[in-house]
Order: sequence, then C-alpha cells, then structure tokens
Amino acid sequence: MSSSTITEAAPVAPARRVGPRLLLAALANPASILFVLWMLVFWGFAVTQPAFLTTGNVRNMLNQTSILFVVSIAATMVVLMGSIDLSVGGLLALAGLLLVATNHGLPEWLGLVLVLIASVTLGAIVNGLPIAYLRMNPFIVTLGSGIAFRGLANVLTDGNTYVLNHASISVTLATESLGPIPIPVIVMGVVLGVIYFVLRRTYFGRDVYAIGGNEEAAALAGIPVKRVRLLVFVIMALVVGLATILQAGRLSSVAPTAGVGLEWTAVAAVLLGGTSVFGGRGSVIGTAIAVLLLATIGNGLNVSGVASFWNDVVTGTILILALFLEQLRTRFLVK
Amino acid sequence: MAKLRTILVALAVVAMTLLIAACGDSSGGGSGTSGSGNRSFKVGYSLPSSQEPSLKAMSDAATKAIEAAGGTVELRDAALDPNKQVSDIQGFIDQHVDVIIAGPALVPQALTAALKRAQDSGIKVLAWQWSYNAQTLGGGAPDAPIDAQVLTDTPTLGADLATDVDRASGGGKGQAIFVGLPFPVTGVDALYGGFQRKMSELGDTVLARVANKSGNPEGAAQVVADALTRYPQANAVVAYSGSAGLGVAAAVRSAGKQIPVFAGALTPDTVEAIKAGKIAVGYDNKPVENGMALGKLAASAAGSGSGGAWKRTVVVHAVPFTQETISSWVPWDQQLADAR
Amino acid sequence: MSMTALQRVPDGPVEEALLTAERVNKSFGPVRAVVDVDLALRPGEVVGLAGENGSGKSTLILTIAGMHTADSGTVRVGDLVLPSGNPRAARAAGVALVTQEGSLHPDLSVAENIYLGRGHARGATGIDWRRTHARAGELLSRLGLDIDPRATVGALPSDQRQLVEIARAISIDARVLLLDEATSSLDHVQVEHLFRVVRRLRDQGVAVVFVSHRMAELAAVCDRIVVLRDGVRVAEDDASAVDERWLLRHMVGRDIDIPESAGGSADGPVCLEVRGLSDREGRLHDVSLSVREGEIVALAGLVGAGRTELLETIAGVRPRAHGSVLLGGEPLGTSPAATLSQRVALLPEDRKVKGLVATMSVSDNLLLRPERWLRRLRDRRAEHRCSGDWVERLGIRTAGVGSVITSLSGGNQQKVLLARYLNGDPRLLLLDEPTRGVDIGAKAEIAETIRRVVTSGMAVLMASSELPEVLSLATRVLVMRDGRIVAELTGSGLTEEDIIDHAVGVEEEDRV
Repeated sequence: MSSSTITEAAPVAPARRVGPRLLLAALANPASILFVLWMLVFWGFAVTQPAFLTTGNVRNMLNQTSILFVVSIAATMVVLMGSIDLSVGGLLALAGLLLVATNHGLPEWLGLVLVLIASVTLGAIVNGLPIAYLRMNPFIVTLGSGIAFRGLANVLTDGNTYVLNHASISVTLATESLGPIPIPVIVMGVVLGVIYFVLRRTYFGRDVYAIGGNEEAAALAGIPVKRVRLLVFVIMALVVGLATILQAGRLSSVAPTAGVGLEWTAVAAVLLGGTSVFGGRGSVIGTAIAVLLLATIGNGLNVSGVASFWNDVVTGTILILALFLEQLRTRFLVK
Repeated sequence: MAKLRTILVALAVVAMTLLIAACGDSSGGGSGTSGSGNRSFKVGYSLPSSQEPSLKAMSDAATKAIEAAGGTVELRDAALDPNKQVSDIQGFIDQHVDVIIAGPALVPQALTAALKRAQDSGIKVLAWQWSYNAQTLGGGAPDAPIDAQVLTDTPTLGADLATDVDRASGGGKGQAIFVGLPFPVTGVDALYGGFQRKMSELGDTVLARVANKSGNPEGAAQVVADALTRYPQANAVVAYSGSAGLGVAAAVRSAGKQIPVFAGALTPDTVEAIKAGKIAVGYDNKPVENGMALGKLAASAAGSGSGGAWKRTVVVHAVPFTQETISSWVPWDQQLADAR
Repeated sequence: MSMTALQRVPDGPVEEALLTAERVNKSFGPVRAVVDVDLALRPGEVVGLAGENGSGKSTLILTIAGMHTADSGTVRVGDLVLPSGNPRAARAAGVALVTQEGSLHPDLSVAENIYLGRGHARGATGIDWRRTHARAGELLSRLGLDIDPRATVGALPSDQRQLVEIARAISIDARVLLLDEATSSLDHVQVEHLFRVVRRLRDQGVAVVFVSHRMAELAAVCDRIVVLRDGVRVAEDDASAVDERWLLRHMVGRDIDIPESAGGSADGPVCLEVRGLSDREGRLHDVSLSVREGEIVALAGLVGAGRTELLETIAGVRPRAHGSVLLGGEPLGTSPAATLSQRVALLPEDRKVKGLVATMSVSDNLLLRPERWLRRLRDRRAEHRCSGDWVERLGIRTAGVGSVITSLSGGNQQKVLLARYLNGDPRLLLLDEPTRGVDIGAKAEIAETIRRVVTSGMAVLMASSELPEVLSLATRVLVMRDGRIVAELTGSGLTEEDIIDHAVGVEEEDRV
C-alpha cells in the first residue's frame, strides 16, 4: 500500500524490551497454549492426588506412553509432509512376531536388529514406494497395508499371544532406568531430539515442510519430492520398529493385537499439537506436549480412581478447549 | 523467535525434572507392613473390564470381604488393554500395596513379569483363574508368580457341558460347535479342554472351535452363523459365557434351527433367555462366591508372613440352571448382600 | 420504498449528475481504504477509476454499490440518498455491480443466470420460460451480443461469461454500471468485445465506471479518468488529454521512467536453440526459435496460443514428443531438477499455485532450491543475510525476511520468486507473465530488473500479455498462434496492432 521502507529483520531485540517480547514470542507458538493446559492438568492432579506426583507414578506414566510418544513424533513428520500413515499398529504387531524366533535359539540382539530391518523394509516397499513413486494416495495405501499387516500377524499366530522367554534386552530397555531416568524416557528424548534436529536444522527437513506446504511448487523448484517421501516413510517405519521393541519388552510377549488404534491416537496427538492436517505447518514440540497431556490425563484419572470411560470424555473436552484457546490466541496475536 | 521458544521449552523441561526429582518416593498412603496381624491393609485390584458383569460382581464381593477384614481396595480398570493392565500393576507396586489381585489377567504371559516384580518387592499376589492342572484343581498352590488363586472348576464345567450335549442328542450323536475367545484366557481354555475330553469319551464330535473376536454378543452371533452354514449337521452349540450365549441363540434362531444352546457362565441378561427357553442350560460361575473367596484370601495374605497355609487354590464349582430351575436363581446383588 | 422516476436521458452531455458520491470514507480496522472521496457520474459517460492495488478503487465502488457500509459520506442517485451498506437498495436505484470473481452458476443457462433470484417472467403455473428466454434474448441483443440464452454458462468461453455477467447486472434496468477490473483475465480480442458493449451502454445513457490500471484500456474506452492513491482522490482529467506517464505519476506518486529503447542486445552468441519442438499433448507443433545471450525475446499471443506450454516444455516440466532443445550447444535436460542444474530457471505463470509455498517465510521461499542434504546444515543467520541481500537488490517491501510470504503484496511476492531463480545464477531465464497481478510500481521495477540481468549475458525468453511491456522490453517478439510461431517481429516501429494482427491471424491484405 503506502511506500514503506524496507525494514531489516532485527535479530536481537534491545534488552529493555525483553519482557513483552518474550511474552509475544511465547504466544507466537501454538504449542504454548497446549503447554499451559498441560501444566494446569498436571499440577491440578499433583495437588489433589497425593499418589500422582511421586517418582514411581511419573515414571510409570512416562514408560506407558513411550510407545505412543515416539510413534507420534515420527508421525508428525509424515503429516507435515502432507501424508499420513495408518499402518503403524499393524506394522508394530507384525514386526514383533520376529522375536518369537528368540524362543527357538535366535540370539536376542540379532532378533532386535531383524525387527528394525523388517520394519524399515516393509515400510519402504509396501508404503513408501507406492506413495512416493506411484503417487498413490497415502491414506488409502497405509489403511490397506495396516489391515494387511495385522491380518498377516493374525494368520501367522492363529490369534495367539507368544511369550518371549529370552527377552532380557528388550525388557531392560522397557523397564529399567539409567540412574534416575528410565530408559524409555531416554529413548523418547533421543527420538524427539533427532527428529527435531532433522526438521529444523537440515535441508531435508526444509524439503519436508516445502512439500507439505505446496508440493507442486516444491517440485518445480527442483526439490526431490519422491526421494523425500520415501525417506520419511522409512524413518516412520524405523521408529515403529523401535516402538515394537519397547512394547515387546514391556509385556514380555508379542501378540497380533498389539498396537490396535495406535495410528489414530498418534494422528490425533499430532493435530492436537498444532500441526496442520494439510501439512507444511507444525512442530514436533507441539506433538510432544500433546502426547504428554494425553498421558497426564489418563494417568491422573486412573490415580484418582475415576472410571476409565471418563478418560475419553475428559480428553475430548480438553481437545475442544485447546482448539478454542488456540482460536483466541490467533485472534489476539492479530491485534 | 525460534531461539526464544527453544529456551522456554528447555527451561520448562529442566524445571519439571527438578521438581519431580525433588518430590521423592511415594510417601504416605498408609502402607501397612506385613506380618503385624489384621491391621489396616491395602489391596490393589486389577479389573480387566468393568463392563463384564460377572467380573464386576466378583470385584464387588472381594471388596466387601476385604473391607470387612479391615482393609481398603484400590480398583483399577484396564479397559481390555493389556498395556494398561501392566501399568496398573506397576502402579500398585509403586504405591506399596500389601496384596495385588489380578481379576483376571488379560494376557497372563504379559503380566507375569510385572507380577514377579511385585512378588520380589514383598507384595502378595493373588489371581483368578491363573493356572489349571491336577495340583491346583486339588487345591494346591498355583504356578509362580501367583501366591494363591481362586478358580471356577472349568474343566469339570466343560465335562458337564459335554454331558448335556450328549444327552440332548440322544446319546453318542452330539455334533457340537464351541464358541470361545481368540486370546488365551486360561479359564476358557481349561473349559474347552474338559469339554473336548468328555465329548470324545462319550463318542460325540466337536465339529469346530470358533473364536468370538469381538467379545460381545454380536460378534458371537456372526461367528456362529458362519459356522452353522459350514456345518449344517450341527445339533448343539456351546458358548463360553452367557453374553456370548445370547448372541449364539440369536444366530441359531435366525438360521431357523432348533438346536439347543449351552452357556458356560450366565449373566443377568441370559437369565431371561433361559426362562424363555432360548438357552437350554446356563451355568452360574458364582462370581460372588469367587469374589468372597478372593477377598478372604487377600485378608489372610495381608496378615501373614512369607509362609502360610493361605497359599493355595480355592475351587468353586459352577451350578447349572435350566428353564425349570432358573426361577430359583438368586441375583448377584442379592447374593452379595447375603454373603458373609 | 418509492422512487421518483428518472427522466429518460436524451443524447449528448447533460449537466445533472446521475450518481453522486460525496466525501465517502471507509476504513477496515486501522487501515483507511477510502478517504474523503467525491465522485460524480453523468449519464452517458464512461469514467475510468485508476489506481494501484490497495488504492481504494475497488473499495470505493463496492461501497457505492452497497456491499460495504461507509463510515461517513453519502451516495445519491439523483435526489435519492442510498442507505449505506444496502445492496438491494442500490440495485433498486439502478446501480449494477460486476466484480472480478464473477457470480455465475456454471451449470445453469444464460437466461437462468441473468434472472436468478429475480425477474423471471411468471406465468400461471410458475416460471414462464418462453418469456424469460425472450426477455433474456432482448437484453443480450441490447448489448449487441450474439449469445443463446439457453446455452449453459459453464460451456461458454471466459469472455462471454464476463459479458453475461454484465447482462445480468443491467437486467435490473441499470442506470449505473460499475465494472471492477473486468478485463484482468481477458485477452485483446475479448477486451475489445467488452468495450463494444460498454460503448453501446454509454450511448444508451448508462453511466459506467471502469476500474483498471491499464493505461491502454483506460484510454480506449473512458471519457475521463479519476486516479486514487492510498484512498485519496489525487487526479482527474479527460482521457484524451493524458498519457501513461501522467497515470503512472499519479498512481505511484513519483515519476517512473519509461525507457525509450527496447531492452537487451542481439549480438551475443546463441544460448538457447529449439528445433522442431512438439509436446505430447499436441499443444505445440514444430516450434523452432533461438535466444542469444543478452537478448530479451518475448512470446506474444492470445490465451491458448501455447506460450505457457512452450516454456514448460523447454524447462522440462512438460514431456517432449519430438524436436530438440539445446543450451549452449548441449542438450537440455527433461525434468525440472535437471534443467535447474543446467542453470535454466522457469518462473511459472501462477505463482500462488506453482511458485510460492504459502506456509513458508519470505527467506525460505526465496532460497527454495535443491540442496545436498549431507553437505551442510541450515544456518538461518546466513540464510537471512543472503535473502536480505536479494530483498535490497530487488526492492522487495517486507516487514522482514522471516515473515510469512503471504504478508507481501502480489508484486513483492513475484519479486521473491524472481529472486529465487536469479539466485541460481541462471544462463537462461524463462518468464511466464512476470508482471501479471502486479501493481504498477513493482511492474516497472521487475521490468528494470530484467533489463539489468541481460546485460551480464543472461538470456531471457518471456511470455507476456501486457503488450506495452512487451514492446518496451523485448529485443525481438515472437508471436504464437495455435501452438506455432507465426511471426518474428523486430524494429522500433513495432506497434501493438502488429502483434495483435499476427496473434489473431489477420492476413497482410486485411490489415487496416
């Protein structure tokens, strides 16, 4: 409109005005609302339930949610790219079955490695190639592959659960601690850290955002869309393999019913965390907070002795509340 | 802007960690020490699903018995999620309860590790329908890591069901379809074992064992409808529970067959079906009696040391009800009120 | 609401104003879109309303038509004061509005669209279609249009649809017709068609307001021109008395140099050589051309002539069927990534859909190009420095390179896109409508940039429908028609008519 002069982007604000700038910076992030909500829920339970804020309970809560957590972080990447992966649960169940071989002489470390290799291979071939190179719809492909994976798991096991008798490594990973920090929490931190780094500090991450934002423009600008798509699905499958190991260690068994509904909860967490369903916008930090919020609600209600059906009611209400507050925040920021 | 956000998040994480580290182990929560007589004790009861009426009735009965003995019950509902049940057990361990009751374990193998940890930390572990073998059916101690258990004698129940089928077919001509569950529930497997053995002993045939994947009556109906199409010669259907029996009865009726339906564990809704003749025989597993036994075992366990005669199996026998006898069935809440 | 009957307007200029807008003010939040503007329309005149994007011209006529509620000021038709913010009252008073987006239903017929919601002829049993179609036919012939009222609107070409819009607008017996950027997506033939209709309406006594920023059009059809800048009325004059320089000066607020000579030079070595090129969809037939280093070659032609297709085929976006494309003697790759690596860049026609990523910032959009992932990590400070350099160099107006790209105006967005491709130091720059949807000031700046980059040896092949721009920039003009190159024109005496004639296909003898 009016001929304004070009303003340089100010890298650091003058010290005097840090206060309001900090607040504005905090508010600028959609995850901030979610963070506040989480703190309210967390400290609400901490104050009203003496059994909640104990190392044991918090550790238990984090261990239980570790599987959903790592899967959701990887799923954030998929959604950011404008895709979706609904085969997570089925892949988790199928990949875990490899560990049954450890009951028959296969060394456990080899079994775990094979689980990762199998996940990555299945993810790349069954999901990645059709979606990336044949341009098939990811919703449909992964919906189908998820059903197929689980179906195959059911066929191979005849519906039975298999106990793992030699699962010492995975059990250690899923239940032990390194000092005060439980190993699953370390795994969560590593997965979060790595994917955060990739998304923000690498050009691969930038390409993921670009493809989600406008695939055609990205392709015309020379971004290797197919390659990026395939890699993202491979990374997702790798993380699913990791989650399979954690799950097997946690239950000391593998079952074809493992991970039912996991992909849907993961996507819900991703969207709750502020990632746009169309892709191109969002952050893994938001997803992380969303998963922790969901875990806190579930655990808190459990400790309070509330019937678990209320869990869904409360989660749904918090979801609506979070979206409402998000609306307010955007409107406030515009002013 | 991005830098500021990262700093904020990092600060928040550090603050949380410090606070959690500072709050220490679970203090308070009145954990009674074992071996000091029948003083106040805490029991952690893990319920797989509060939606299953017989399991709920059982937990109510156990609670009554425990509270009568001066204890408190912390009830956790796993909502049919094995992952959550493991978490619930872990929660009980962290809360330093005196006794844990798995009523029952959804996937016993998955729970074994957690229950072992509980046992190692000094908690007494009880379960419902954990291990079936000659020793336990005779009242002996159950397999590790369970200290004591209560079970319904499902092998005998299975045999009784087989006898019913045989009688209904006129002796030796029974062609039965058995409806079970898709995951290894010990009680149901034991029931099937007893059923199968008796059937072959009597010269009858088990045509198929099908699995009700959904766990609800509709799923049972569907599965039985398919089986009846595959085996038109079937003249009896046996369901592992009353709810499944309802679904089975519906499927049988819509298939236009006049064959009898037998149900393993009746529920309040199946009582009506028995009165109407839709289910030929229903067996009451007597959840209230099971629950009271569990509760009393828990009280004994809480009050004793590491040894003790309480480490055994309490066996409860199911009682059959037919259309003629169903009117004498006492509803569970009434049984609960009368129980001592 | 009763209305005094307006007198039938005789031919020739009359002093009483048909519509008067006095001291109209309209703000949107803190933004003052229209500031104290007066506008008087006499019957039988075409008034051009000119201004850059954001000058308030659209807001003004929308307010007059009742689509916005004015903050203050009055709009009168004759003696009747129109209640503000009431489109129905405005329509009833004879004020008709045709917007850029259009409000036609593609599945309904012409007659149905014209009378949608009002005015169907009614018979005993509902709508009398025969009479409705007849009425529609009369209306269309009043406009001198040969369109079948029964035809489905969606099947009509875009310019005819625009004319049906006008027919619909005046079906209410309009005395005032407001046209908001009606020609922005039409080519020359279509525009001329539209002007014929406008002149016809003017001769019938209708007052027409024609909103545009194209000098040639304003000069062609308007009687007088009013210029708005930043919401304020800054100039008015007879259309015959002013020229492009006058218009630019008032629209932008400063003098813009219109270069006298064409850009580029024709004596460099050949950079791009295309021989016998055709594409797989049959949109190009045996196209051959060459572009030298330092040259600006323009592709002119009507909509659908194949210019975009040609640029896309050269750039490897569209698959080739036959023919060869050589860059500096070497064959040019057949994918966007390949051509980019050979330093050939294509600026797409539709920047919103094919060029910019709306969710990313200015800097990220500017620097969007293939990177070797393992070569290095992102360094935002270095990125911002690099994009900041380009912002300065091209005069991009933005709050900061970190702000989201959608906060920029169309012209500045286009500059960002241009910067992206210039950043790759291309040998050959393919531009598809580089100044479409760009305000006047930015148009001039982009043109200046193009002139500048060819001096260092870059070759430019550009498709443009803005003939004045083509004439001022191009070293050579290639005219396309139906997927072929039909003429190659050079020379300082080249006129728009020359180009149009070839674009349309008029034979030598028929040219006037």
